[in-house]
Amino acid sequence: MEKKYLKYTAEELAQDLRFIRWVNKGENESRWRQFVNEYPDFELKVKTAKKLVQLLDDSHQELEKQEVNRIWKKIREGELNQQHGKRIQLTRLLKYAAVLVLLLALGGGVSFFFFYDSSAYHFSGSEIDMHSAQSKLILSNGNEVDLERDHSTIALKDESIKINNDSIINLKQSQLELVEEKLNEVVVPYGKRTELVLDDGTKVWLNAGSRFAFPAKFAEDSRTVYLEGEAYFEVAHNPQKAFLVNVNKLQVRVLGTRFNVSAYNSDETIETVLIEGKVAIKEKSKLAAFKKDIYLEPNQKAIFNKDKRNSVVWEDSKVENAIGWVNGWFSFSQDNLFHVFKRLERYYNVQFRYDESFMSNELLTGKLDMSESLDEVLSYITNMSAVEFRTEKDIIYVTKKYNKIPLINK
Amino acid sequence: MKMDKNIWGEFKKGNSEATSHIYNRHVQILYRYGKKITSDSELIKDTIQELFLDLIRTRHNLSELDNIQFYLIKAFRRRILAELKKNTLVEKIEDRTSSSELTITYSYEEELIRKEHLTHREKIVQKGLKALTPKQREILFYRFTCNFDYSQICELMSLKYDSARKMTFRALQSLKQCLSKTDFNFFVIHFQLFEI
Repeated sequence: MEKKYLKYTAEELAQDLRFIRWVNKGENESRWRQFVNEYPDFELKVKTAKKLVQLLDDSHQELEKQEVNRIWKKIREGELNQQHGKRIQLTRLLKYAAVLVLLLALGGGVSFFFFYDSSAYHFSGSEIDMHSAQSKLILSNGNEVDLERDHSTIALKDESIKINNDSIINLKQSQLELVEEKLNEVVVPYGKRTELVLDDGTKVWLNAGSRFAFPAKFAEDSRTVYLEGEAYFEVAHNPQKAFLVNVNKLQVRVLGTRFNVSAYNSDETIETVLIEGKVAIKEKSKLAAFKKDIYLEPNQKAIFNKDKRNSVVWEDSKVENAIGWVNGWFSFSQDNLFHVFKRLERYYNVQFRYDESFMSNELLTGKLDMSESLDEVLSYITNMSAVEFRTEKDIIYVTKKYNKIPLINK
Repeated sequence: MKMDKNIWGEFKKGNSEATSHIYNRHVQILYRYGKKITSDSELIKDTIQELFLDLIRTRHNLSELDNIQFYLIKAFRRRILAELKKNTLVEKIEDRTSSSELTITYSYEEELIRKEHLTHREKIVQKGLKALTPKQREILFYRFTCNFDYSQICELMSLKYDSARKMTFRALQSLKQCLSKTDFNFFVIHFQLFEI
């Protein structure tokens, strides 16, 4: 600290910007403390000045996160309208209509990525059809193991793999080389789920329609896995070995935390939701060389748009919704109908069909118990929205409901 | 503030990530600033929204700058003053008629207002805050909450450098005197929070 401060009066000190930042934000805490300790006479002045700064500090009246997001949405809506050449006066009435447009157009974001990463991974199980009947484990030597159940478990421990709590594959006996490049894969078709415990104790829940690649034993310096589809992770804490989840175009880096990644090839976006801990997200592209990582805080969601190659970070007070599928329910809040259909398609291994002219900007909020039959789930949706379903085998035809239109929307 | 300069440049080019960054980074300070001026939160939120929409609309014509927060506060101030003036004409609120003056209320002050019974000490502090002129309050906000330097404060409030310094000094002096009349018990809480 500069000696000039010793000559300052309390008033002068109180209005010094560096002093203010120390008191309010703790900037250079140790240097200031040391300085005060060195000159005990100075301390009284510091105390008085601190009180002044604190009296005038103003940490109250923060705008709630929800409101921050709401205003931002409106700004984005307004921007879209500007782009279409019509400047409309935004009112508080636009609640329903524009949100659908917005969800599709989620463009801007606090996104900062960097580095080119050549670690693209080709799934050897990529030719396996997602509509197939069983989940599969594909070992690094090419052997395939059927995971018979709808909801299977796989646990790695001491170089052996335990499946559905009974059959055990000893990796050593199978003469598998335990090197990092040789990965094992799990393929979870539509309608199925799989739970994994990795070598380091990390738990992974794989949602329907996902592929996941992992080593039998992690490398010395990092824990690298590959994902296509959706997974919820509870990463075992290890600050020495970062856990790296690679999805098409992005890499999520963590030390120990709980989060969900949804990266289906058929989706326009990749969503990362953080429940606990901290994660960094970076884009894996040469073009992204100058972008910084995105750091997520708990209760935040990063949405990466694959076409536009940019991200938005969203506060999400209902992050648990994102991992509802782990426990067999699917909850949505202000999600549009098509989004709901997409999730049901994967989960129940069916297809929704509708006319090109079928339009809906209905937003649904609710919770579906996926252990119930598809018919039951569909009847819930019919009750809460303006659509009707007609089922023929695995195809569900969607039509508008006429006469009565009860909109669930809050 | 080289970073601000780059981000602003990106924003002008139409980079929507830059827009989102600017918004997320500054929305809280704008809101707090608004709350100091008026209790009408809806007006504040609408003003923030309109401010950003106008910036986006005219982004290509905006000049370069190296302190985004300062620019936003300045633009926001102009807008909210105009809005308040409009409302005043309609509702005839005596309080806000003085043309370009803002009345800033401090959060501690508001706490005191809400309290039913004030201790002797609190009364003295309240009196001290009450004694501040609107201009002094505004300067203190820019300095203590926004951390602006004096040249920026002068630009915002069309003041001369010397008078801005003088006003600040006098305000702090009188507040200090108030504080010294009390034995600061109420600060104990603040200090403890700070020490953690």
